[in-house]
Amino acid sequence: MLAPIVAALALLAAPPTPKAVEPITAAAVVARYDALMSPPAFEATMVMIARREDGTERSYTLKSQKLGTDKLRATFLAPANAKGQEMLRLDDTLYSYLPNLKRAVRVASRDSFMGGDFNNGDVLRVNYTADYTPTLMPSPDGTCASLEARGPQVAYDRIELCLTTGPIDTAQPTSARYFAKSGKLLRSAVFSDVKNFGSVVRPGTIVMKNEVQHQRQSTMRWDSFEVKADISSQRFVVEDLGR
Amino acid sequence: MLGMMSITLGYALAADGAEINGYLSDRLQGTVPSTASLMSTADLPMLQSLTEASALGRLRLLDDRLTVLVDASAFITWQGGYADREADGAHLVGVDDHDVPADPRMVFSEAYVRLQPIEHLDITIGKRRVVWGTGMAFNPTDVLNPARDPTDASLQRAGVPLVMVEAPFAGFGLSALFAPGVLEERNGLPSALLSWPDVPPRESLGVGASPDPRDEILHYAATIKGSAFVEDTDVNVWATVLNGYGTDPREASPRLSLSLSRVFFEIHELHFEGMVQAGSDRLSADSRCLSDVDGATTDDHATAIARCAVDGRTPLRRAWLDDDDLRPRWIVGSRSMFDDESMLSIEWLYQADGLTRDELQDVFTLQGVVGDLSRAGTMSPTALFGTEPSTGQGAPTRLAVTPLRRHHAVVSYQRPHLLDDFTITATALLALEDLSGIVSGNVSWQTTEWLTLSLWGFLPTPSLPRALDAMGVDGAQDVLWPVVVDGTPYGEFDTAAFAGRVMLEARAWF
Repeated sequence: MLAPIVAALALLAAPPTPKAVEPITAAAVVARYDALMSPPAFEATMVMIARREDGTERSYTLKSQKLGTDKLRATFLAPANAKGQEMLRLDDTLYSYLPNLKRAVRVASRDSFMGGDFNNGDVLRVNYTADYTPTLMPSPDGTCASLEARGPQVAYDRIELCLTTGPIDTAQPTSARYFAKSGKLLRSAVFSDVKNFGSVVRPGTIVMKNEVQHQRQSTMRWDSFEVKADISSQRFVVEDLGR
Repeated sequence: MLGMMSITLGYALAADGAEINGYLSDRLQGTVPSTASLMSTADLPMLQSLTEASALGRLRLLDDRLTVLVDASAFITWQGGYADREADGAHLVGVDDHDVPADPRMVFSEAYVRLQPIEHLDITIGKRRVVWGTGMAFNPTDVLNPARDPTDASLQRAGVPLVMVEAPFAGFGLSALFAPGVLEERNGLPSALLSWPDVPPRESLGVGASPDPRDEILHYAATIKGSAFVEDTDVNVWATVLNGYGTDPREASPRLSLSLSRVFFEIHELHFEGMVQAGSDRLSADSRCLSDVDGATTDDHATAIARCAVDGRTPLRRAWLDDDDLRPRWIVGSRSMFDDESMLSIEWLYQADGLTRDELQDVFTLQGVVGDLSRAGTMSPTALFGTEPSTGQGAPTRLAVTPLRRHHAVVSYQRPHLLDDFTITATALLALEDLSGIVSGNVSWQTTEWLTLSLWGFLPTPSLPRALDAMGVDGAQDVLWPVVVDGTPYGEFDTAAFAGRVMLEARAWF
């Protein structure tokens, strides 16, 4: 009668068998990055500060909303001369709403984002899982993957992305390098200021350095980042821009 | 309505979640009148200062389901210095300063309430600028809004009073719009909508007043539109019925419109915007009001015009109102966006109701006669042509152009973020049938995040026959079949009232 109970207690008291550590895959690196930096539905407020060659700075405040893998809307809140401008990405299609024009026009997605060192794609199209084919690459900087573009619609042709070492489900992005098709290094990014936004713990700041014009760099700082269960799909139709 | 706007702006200043932004700007403008202008330039100020205070207040309530928006501008204008070509010569002479009606002092570009009672249903009530066309310089399908400056589309934000119901979905949408005609306007606000009141307008009272414009019909525009995203292309199709709306006096006048936009090879956006209608409300000259004698003088034409007036006809008329012929208008163009963020836009505007060479000849002949009579002090232009409706003008633009002929091209190049803070823009508007044009250049300097300084220049460029004629080339009048007035060839933009215009603007944002 007591034997099964003793056996069960013995099992509970026994030291746990070490769980086999599954090797980190390149896909897991990219999936982790997407989950942190661009979850399926979120609403965020961020500030972009562009530092120019002469040392002066320009800052922009914007609110962004994302739904699914293909819909993202960004609304400029400051400065006053950009307030009300909006950008809407629907899959590969990008619209820009200009308050003075009172309408949206289609634009190319590779453009620089407000003259800074981020591209439209950096801000409006973060879906590395869909856009890039990853392979793990050895690096002393952490767990790194090389991402090759699957198509021409993305901002960069190759990205080297590094996360902190350790379990993938607690890893945080640390750095990234962005290349042109020729192999030329265009930008490099450092992720920092990891903080708890309530619904997610992730970097609160990215410093994007321009590797072509070295005096230039832009900083993106998130003031809020709320992962949502859902956002009204009407926020992501062209007719809703300017509302 | 004014109360609602004031409350919105006031509340936007005070309420949480509400927002207000805008600018203060001052524009100094210098204009050199053109001696080539057929019409008198006596009312064209050579110096003008336009100060504008503009504010946009927005209030979002009920979890963003209710938006109240007011976009208003107040203008203070100073202008002076007038000159005109001497009556029987080719030189400019000064004209005594006199009162010329300035642009509107107050413009409510938009003032509306937008309600979303349920998801995918929007209801808008108020004054709003709704643009469905894809053209950049011109929107030939736009029969509602005040026209904009083709050299800078962003200058005109004014809309019209309307009620609109929209059902927007991902990939497609439906809209229905009803816009009552604005028959009278005071301080930028409509004082008579849809039908004329029992009391005649102030302008038609008293000795020498304009005729009483009142009629018994309802004045409105009604539109139903469908939109879809098909094969990576934005497609909009809409049908509009005008009933005594705007400048078109016809009842139940239908139009069918289509707009398309698609990006090719990542950086080239191609667009089409077109509308087809039966007949047209375009103004043309009544050739019966001009002398048909070869080599007729101004006096001969003046006699013909006087005879016309006795017969109850006006020298300018809308001749094709009852025409059953389909007269399409369209604009086709591309916008190419390059890696350095520069943009090149090329558009071709075609309007089947544009004037033929003979029709333009009559218009220019009439303008020449009116110009001569005005300069001689015999007759004022408004006595012949009447005054344009004072409603729906919108904000003052830098350049007002109404294309007269059938084929026009607009080429525009813009390079932002040059040396980080400068934007340069160059635009050429060309009448393709005679190659006359207007070119403009602009340099804007974003000195700080809150102050923009801009410099503009506008210059008419002569038509090919006029340029050849100026160089003394024989047979210049046979090149491209120009209009000839008093032995001189004229292209469409050769009669521009100014020989050059320069503007300097400072705009402080808040």
